[in-house]
Amino acid sequence: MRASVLAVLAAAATGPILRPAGARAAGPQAAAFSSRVVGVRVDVLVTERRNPVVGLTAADFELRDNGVAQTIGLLESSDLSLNAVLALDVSASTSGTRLTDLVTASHALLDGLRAADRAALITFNQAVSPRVPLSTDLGLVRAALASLAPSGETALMDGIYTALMSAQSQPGRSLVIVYTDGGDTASWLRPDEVLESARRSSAVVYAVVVGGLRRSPLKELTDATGGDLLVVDSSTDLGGVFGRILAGFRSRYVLTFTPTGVAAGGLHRLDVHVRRSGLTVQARPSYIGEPAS
Amino acid sequence: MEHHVRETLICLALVMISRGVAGRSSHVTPATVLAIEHWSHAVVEHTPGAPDAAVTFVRSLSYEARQDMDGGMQPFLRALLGKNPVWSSAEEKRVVEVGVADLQSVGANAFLERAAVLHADAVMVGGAAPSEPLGRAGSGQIAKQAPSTSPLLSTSRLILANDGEAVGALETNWNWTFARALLDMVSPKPAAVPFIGQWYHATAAYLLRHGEYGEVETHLAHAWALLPDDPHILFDRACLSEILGLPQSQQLLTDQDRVARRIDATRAGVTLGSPERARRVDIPFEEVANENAERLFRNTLQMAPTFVEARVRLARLLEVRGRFADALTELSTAVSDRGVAHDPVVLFYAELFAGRADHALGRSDAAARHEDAAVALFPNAQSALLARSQLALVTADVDGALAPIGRLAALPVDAARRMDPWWQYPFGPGRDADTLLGQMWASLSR
Repeated sequence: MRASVLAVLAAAATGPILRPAGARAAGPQAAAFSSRVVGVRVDVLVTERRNPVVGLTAADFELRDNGVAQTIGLLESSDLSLNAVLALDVSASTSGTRLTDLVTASHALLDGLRAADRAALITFNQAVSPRVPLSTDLGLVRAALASLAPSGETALMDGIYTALMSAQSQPGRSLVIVYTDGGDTASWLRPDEVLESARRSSAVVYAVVVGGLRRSPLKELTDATGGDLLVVDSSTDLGGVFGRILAGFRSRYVLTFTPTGVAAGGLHRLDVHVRRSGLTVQARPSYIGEPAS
Repeated sequence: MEHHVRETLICLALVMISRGVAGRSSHVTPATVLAIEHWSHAVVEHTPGAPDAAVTFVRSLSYEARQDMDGGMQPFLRALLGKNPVWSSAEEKRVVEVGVADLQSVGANAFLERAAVLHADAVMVGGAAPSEPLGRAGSGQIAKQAPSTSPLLSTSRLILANDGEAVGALETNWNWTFARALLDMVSPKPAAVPFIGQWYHATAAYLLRHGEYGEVETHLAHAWALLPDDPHILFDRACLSEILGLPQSQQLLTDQDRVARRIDATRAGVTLGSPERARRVDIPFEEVANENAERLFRNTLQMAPTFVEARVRLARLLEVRGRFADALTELSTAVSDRGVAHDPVVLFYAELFAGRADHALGRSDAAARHEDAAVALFPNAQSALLARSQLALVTADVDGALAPIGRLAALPVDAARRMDPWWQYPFGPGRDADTLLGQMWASLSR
C-alpha cells in the first residue's frame, strides 16, 4: 500500500479498514501522540439547499485523484468516533461577553458529543497552549474552559497548526473548530506553511470569526480541509453555530481509497462528485502524498 | 552635495524648533517666575532614572502651568545659552538670573541634557500611562486646547491599537516634544555631543518596547535629522519600518485600503483616523514597509558592517520577499561575525530564519540542524518548536512532528512565564531598553 502523509496522519480513524497502532492513554497534562499508516480518507459533506443529504451509498460517489477515477469505499461515519478539537482565541480582544458566549457555546458542543467521542482544548493568544489533549473525559475540557483569561496578542496560525497536529493524536475522525475575533498578530508559522500542513492532515477545519473578517487566510485554509469559514456579527449565537458545525460533521460521508494509477508523491488534486443532480459536495480539494519508498 | 543639502535641512529644522522654545516672545508674570524656578530646581535635583520629586513635579504640570513656564522660556534659554540677556521687567530679570545661575553652576549643555532626561523620565519612570487616553475611537471627544507651536504646549493625536485592532486615540505626551526641542540647542551641535545619540537610542528603545510607534516615528525622524551618521539611529528607523510591515501593524489596514492599493500602486500607505481626531498613524503597505526597512538595514550595514542584528533582520526581510538564498548568505555572514555568540537572542533569530530559508530551498537536513540549534538555545520557545514540528511534518516524520507539540503542552499557559524570543522580535532595539536606559542614565550621572 502506498501511504500518503495525509493517510499517515489521518490514520487515527477507527473502523474495519484502518488499524490503530498503539495509541496511548493520555492524562490531562501529558499529551501522548501516536501515528499509524492507512489509505486515504476523505470526509465529504453533501447538501441540498444547505441541508445535509443522507442515505447515499458508495455507488453514488465518484472520486478522482489527479483526474484518475478511484475505487472508493464508504465508511459508516456513525461507527467512527469523533475527535473534536476546540482551538480558541483568548487574546485580549476576546474578553467580556465574547468570552462568556464562547464558553457557553463550547459547553454546548461538548453536550453534543457521544460517549466514544473525544474532545481537546487548545487556547492561543501569542502563546499556544494545548490545555487538554484528546480525551473521552469531557470534564477535563469543561474544567479548563472555566479558567480562560483573555490577554495578549493573537497567534492564529500557530494555534491552528497545533490544533491540526493535536487532532491526529488519537483514532477517529477529526473536527477542528477554530474560534477567533480577528487576524493574526503574533504567529511564527506563516499561512502558507499552515496551509501545507492542513493538506497533509485529514482533519476538517471550521473557522468561526466573530466581529467581521479582516485580512485573513482562513477561507483558503478551511476550504483546503473541506471545512468552512463562518463569519458572524456577534457572539450571541455561537452555541448554535457550533451545534450546526457538529451536526454537519456527523452527517458527512467518509470515503476511503488507495491511490491507483497516479504518482504517489506531491500534491494530489481531488475531485469528488455525486451522481445525482442538484446536490452540493464539500470536500477537501487536494492532499499531499509522499513518494513511494 | 548631499551632505550640504542635509545640513541645510537640519538648520531649517533647528530654526523652526528654536522659534518654538528660544525664539518665542516672552510674557513673564510672577507665576512664570515661580514656574521657571521650580522647573530649574527640578532639572538640577533630578536623579536620572529615579521616580523622584522632580519627576512628580513634571508629571503634575498642568496645561496652565506649562503656559506659565512658556512665558519665561525665551529669556531663560537666552540666559542659559549665554546670549546677551535683556529684560524689560523685574519678573523677566529674575528669570534671566535663574538661567545665568544654571549656566554657571551646571553648564548649558549639561542643563539641557539633564532637562531632556527629566522630561523623558517623567514619561518612563513615573508609573502611569505616558499619554492621556482620549477614549475609544468614535467616542466624539475632541481637542481640549487650541493648537500651539510651543513644544511645551503642542500635542497631537495618535491612534491606539491593541492586538491589531484600532481601539481609540491618544494625546501625545508633551514631554517628548519638549525634551527633543531642548536637546536641539546643545552646542556646538547635537551631532558633536555623544550623549544625544545615546539619549535618542535609549528612549527610542523604550518607545518601541512599549509599542508607541506613532511617537517613536516622530522621535526617530527628529533624531535622524540631527544624527544622520549614527548607525544605531538608522537601525532603530529600520526596525520601526520593519515593525510597520509586520502583521500586528498590517492588521490595522482594511480590505478597502488594499483594494485602493491595487487600483493605485503609487499609494504608499494609509493615515488612520480623521484629520480632526488623529494627526497620524501612517501605516505603509507591507511591501512598502519592507522595502524601506531593507534599504535602511542596508544603509546601517554600510556604516557598521559588523552590526549583526541589522544583518539578521535584513535576512528575515529577504525571506519574506522570497529571496531565500540571499537571506542565507546574509545569515552566514552575520553568524560568522564576532560577537554574535554574546547575544543568544540574535543567534536564535539567525538559526530560526536560516531554518526557514533552508526549508524553502528544499534542504531539509540543513533546516533541521538550524531549527534544532534554535530549540537548544531556547528549549521552550514556541516558535522554534513549531518550526521543528512543521519541518518534520512535511518530511513525513510524524513522530517528529508530534513530539514538539507534546513539549508545548507541558509549558505554562501564561505567556509571561514562557520565553520565546520571537515574541520580542517586534520590539526591535526595545528588547534591550532597560540596559540602554541604564547606560544613558549612568553616563549623565558621571
